Amino acid sequence: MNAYIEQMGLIAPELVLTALSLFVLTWDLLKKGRNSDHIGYATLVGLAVTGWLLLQQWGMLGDKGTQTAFGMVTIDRFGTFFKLFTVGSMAVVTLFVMLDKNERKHGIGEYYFLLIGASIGAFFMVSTNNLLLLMLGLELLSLASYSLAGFHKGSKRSAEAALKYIVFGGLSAGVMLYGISLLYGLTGTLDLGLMGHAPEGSGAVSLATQFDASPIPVAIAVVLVLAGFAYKVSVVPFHFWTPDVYEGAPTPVTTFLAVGSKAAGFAALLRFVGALFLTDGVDASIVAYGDRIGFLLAILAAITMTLGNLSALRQGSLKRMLAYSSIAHAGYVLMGAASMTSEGFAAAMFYLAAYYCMNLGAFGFLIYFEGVTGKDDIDSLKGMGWRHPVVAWSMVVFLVALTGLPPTVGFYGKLILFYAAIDAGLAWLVIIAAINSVISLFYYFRVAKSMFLTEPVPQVPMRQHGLAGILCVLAVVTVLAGLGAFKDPLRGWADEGPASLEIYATDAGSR
Amino acid sequence: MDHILSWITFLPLIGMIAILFVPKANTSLIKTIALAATGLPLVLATWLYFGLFDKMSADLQMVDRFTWIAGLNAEYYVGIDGLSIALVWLTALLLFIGVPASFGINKAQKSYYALLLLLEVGIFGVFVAQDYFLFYVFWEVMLLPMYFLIGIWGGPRREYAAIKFFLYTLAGSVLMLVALVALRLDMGALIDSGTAEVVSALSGTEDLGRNAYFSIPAMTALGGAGLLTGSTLPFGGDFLGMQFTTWVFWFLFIGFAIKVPVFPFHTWLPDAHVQAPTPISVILAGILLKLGGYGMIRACFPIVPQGFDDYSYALGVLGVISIVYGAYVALGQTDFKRMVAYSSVSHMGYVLLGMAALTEWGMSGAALQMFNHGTSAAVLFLVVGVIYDRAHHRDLNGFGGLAQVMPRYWALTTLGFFAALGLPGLAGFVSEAMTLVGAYQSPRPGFKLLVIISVLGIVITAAFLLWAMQRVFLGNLNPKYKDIKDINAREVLCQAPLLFLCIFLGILPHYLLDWMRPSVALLIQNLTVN
Amino acid sequence: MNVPTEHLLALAAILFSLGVLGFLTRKNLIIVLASIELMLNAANLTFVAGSRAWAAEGVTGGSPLQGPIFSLFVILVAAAEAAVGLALIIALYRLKQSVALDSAGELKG
Repeated sequence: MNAYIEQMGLIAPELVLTALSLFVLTWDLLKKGRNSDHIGYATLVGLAVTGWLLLQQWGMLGDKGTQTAFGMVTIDRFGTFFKLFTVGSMAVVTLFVMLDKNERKHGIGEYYFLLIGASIGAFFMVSTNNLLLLMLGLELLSLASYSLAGFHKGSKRSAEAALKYIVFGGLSAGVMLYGISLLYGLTGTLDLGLMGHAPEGSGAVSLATQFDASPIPVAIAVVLVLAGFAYKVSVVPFHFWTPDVYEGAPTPVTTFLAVGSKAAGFAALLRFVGALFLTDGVDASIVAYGDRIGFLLAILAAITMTLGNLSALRQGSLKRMLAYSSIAHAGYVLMGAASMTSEGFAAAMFYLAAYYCMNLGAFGFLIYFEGVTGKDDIDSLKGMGWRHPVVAWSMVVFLVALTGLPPTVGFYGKLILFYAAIDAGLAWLVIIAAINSVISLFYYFRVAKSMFLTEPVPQVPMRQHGLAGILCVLAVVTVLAGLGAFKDPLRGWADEGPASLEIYATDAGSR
Repeated sequence: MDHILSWITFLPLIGMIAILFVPKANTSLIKTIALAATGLPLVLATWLYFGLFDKMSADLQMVDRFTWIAGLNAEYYVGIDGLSIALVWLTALLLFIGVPASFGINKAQKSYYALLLLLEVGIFGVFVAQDYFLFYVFWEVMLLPMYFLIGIWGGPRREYAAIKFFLYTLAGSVLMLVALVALRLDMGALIDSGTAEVVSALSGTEDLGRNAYFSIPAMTALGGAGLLTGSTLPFGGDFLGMQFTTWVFWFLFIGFAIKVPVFPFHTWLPDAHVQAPTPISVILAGILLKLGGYGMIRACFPIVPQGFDDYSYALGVLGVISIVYGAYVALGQTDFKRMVAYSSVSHMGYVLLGMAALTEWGMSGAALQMFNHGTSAAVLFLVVGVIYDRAHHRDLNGFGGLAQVMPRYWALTTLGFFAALGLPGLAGFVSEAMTLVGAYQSPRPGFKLLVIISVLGIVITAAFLLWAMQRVFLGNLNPKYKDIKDINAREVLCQAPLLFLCIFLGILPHYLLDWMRPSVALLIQNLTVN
Repeated sequence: MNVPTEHLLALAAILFSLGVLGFLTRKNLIIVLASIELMLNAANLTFVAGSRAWAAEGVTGGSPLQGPIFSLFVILVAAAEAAVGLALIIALYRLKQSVALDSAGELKG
């Protein structure tokens, strides 16, 4: 019994979040129609507690992860890194929901409930080495996201976004599940550690062994599973839902999809690829096919960033442009995974952290802007720079960061990605990524151009001090992080993540 | 005084932050702060030039150095030597002149001066940075203020000009970034390997045992010793059939050449110049173009001397094309400012030609030419600004006989034009003559031919400048301008120091040459591949 | 009586392909959802077949029940997805009076 309680302690953050979701739902039911801000504050408190627990957990975890619930749940620094950022982004999204002028009319309790539910899904998705739990976490995240995307019941755009999301999401779930079932059939296990490296007597066959025997089924299975992840993180050619869903969904939800959901997808992708193929991690027998997967990912990365950037060039809507930009950034992150080294994975994690920061800012700006004008097209931004200087300059910081220019965290992240990729022999990919930054400058700075370079059009000056404050803080963080202010925690955390992953991967077999 | 370079670099930043807290309406206070924040660095830079700097030494001086981002092995590492000190001083001077020259601007003054000061931080930073990461950060920090300064306060096609400037420069800098990342990886592996060759190459520098993978002096030392060849990288020093050093050389060179600008990367320049407001044109022509030339001799050629050695003739050819082509196109312009912009392309061609020759005269001439073009081009843009403020157009054919109504303006303009076309006795003559003589002396084959062709550029330059003068100032007075006001005291004060420098350095060029001689000698030694 | 594993796997592959084909060719949203169910069931069949085959060889990789348990969860996931999917279809139907995929045409670009 004591051992049981101890094990529950490991998933305390998840338990707190679950309790929080139920509490929010119940409270909304009891307080129907009255001040909804209290629910937001309650959510923030719950998230703060979760974050505190996660920090405690980080401190207690060593280099090595630990498992609970019969090996289903793996608590390691890799997962905790992503959970911390999920909680952080959830808190910012919650603030956005509270401050967004368009979000008051609907059942706000359910809104928070679904958001928290989605993050519980993300939590389990990033902290498991077992494909069953990974799949369940992913489904929980997805189902909550589908409902959230369609939250504006009366809006055709919202309904359509949700429908497209669930239809393509269902397809990807089917494809991925079939891939998992094939992997199970090939190896006899659902545990990624055993799949990557199955020692004698473990009752499983490692994927590498099966690859030597029958390469084609293994390749098919792996590609099918990767397709599922690619859908979640909107990598070409599984990206086509992204612009539509991002555009149609309520903007705070889009923020969550672009930041929290995508990062969780990447975490699972990195864990999957890392456990099975990380060439400097496990044993030599997988190097041969690990490199091939790396090459496949590198090609996907190149296509994704190029297509995302080129499509973003001709968007008139800021929201849609940010959607394509998030596709392009998925391509950048994928560079890290394609490197197939611990440094590459750490770089991908660091870049995701940077991406959290700058994208939260950019979407926060979008919410502010929609609140002011009721529109989301770039041309309506005219004169924003002169009417709302603080917010507009913050947005310039985010744009600079998204382009990947110093002195912002976007540059820092890209630099580390470039290192990892060149070190892994992917110099051609780095050159493509560099050219892509130049392309991206063009559309990001259309926003700056609209805000500052055109004469202001008369509009009602409406201020939203709360949002402006958040944006300001995010902008300062973006710059300070780019100057290396948080180098110790951030770089340190990102570096330790894959380390824990790798040690776990080598260790899993002997368990 | 400790940390003088850091003070010079970051005083404008302090000024910028101060301006952010001043109410928008209080423009006189904003201007005062801007004057102080650009004036103090000028005072410090002057003191540095004449007092603190030891001109007999080729070493880095006034060094500030500490670990900045440990995870990247990037340092905050600033220092100055004979190649950069004159340019630092010129930056301080031109930015200081840029503030009163901007007093005519009435739109969004708070943002304007804040951005101007941020720009100054970036420029100073590039000139003093000795760590490539720091260098790159400052290099990019300049872009953003420049984009807004052209884009918000520029002429009718400012949006186009601003984004074109930004895109061109960024295209160059991402190439630089790729080369930089590769260099950093190679540096890391070399230094970590700690072989005897590496140690002996680094011995005598401060970088021995520091693990400063981004340090430009360390890169120079290892590059000069022929060790920085990319052999530790996965592709083993040979990428897609070309040597690593060749790739790095061209990536870095193109990054800087866009800034210079060297033909064929020059097309952003006329647009940016024509659209930018006068003070920004002055800074653009006076300083920003020099960053390209400075970058080449600081952070491109010495790091990959092999690449420089292999392609120096190509560089010379590019330089000559810039000289002749820039002058030829300037001849055909009817827009005063566009003409001056193309003349910059032509004048910066001498810099490249002089550097490519790799002789002491050529290299010193190139360094001198950068400074002298900084003063003469700044004067020319101020001259254009004066007439544009009054007539609101810049069509060379739309004036005529202005000498009768604006005698003082005519006198100053004449002096500026003569400085630009290289009249003996003025600064431009010394530096152009030095580069040409230096190139002619070059032991490398073919440079004599290049010199002969580039003389054509001098003739065309004289032609377009004198022709422009004739059209604007001589002949019959255009009756539209019979009441035009002559140049005022503020405008004279802006031009006077620059014109003084043009004359002074024409007579006593050793006030620059003495400072740079040891560094130039060291540079040539580093660039000579044996 | 004992169906060979190969036959089961082939059947699953055929089911999966049919699901993909249905998804790609049909315009009716409800049929599209049904096609997805088909794909999920292909996965279920593979899980169960794989589990049986491994158990026969004595290789169990932790627990012999992993495969069947996974299929139970897949059924659960399928039900949840159908619930949400049908709810969203109803929402769209209220707005557009149609359940065709083509009727969703607000978002383009």
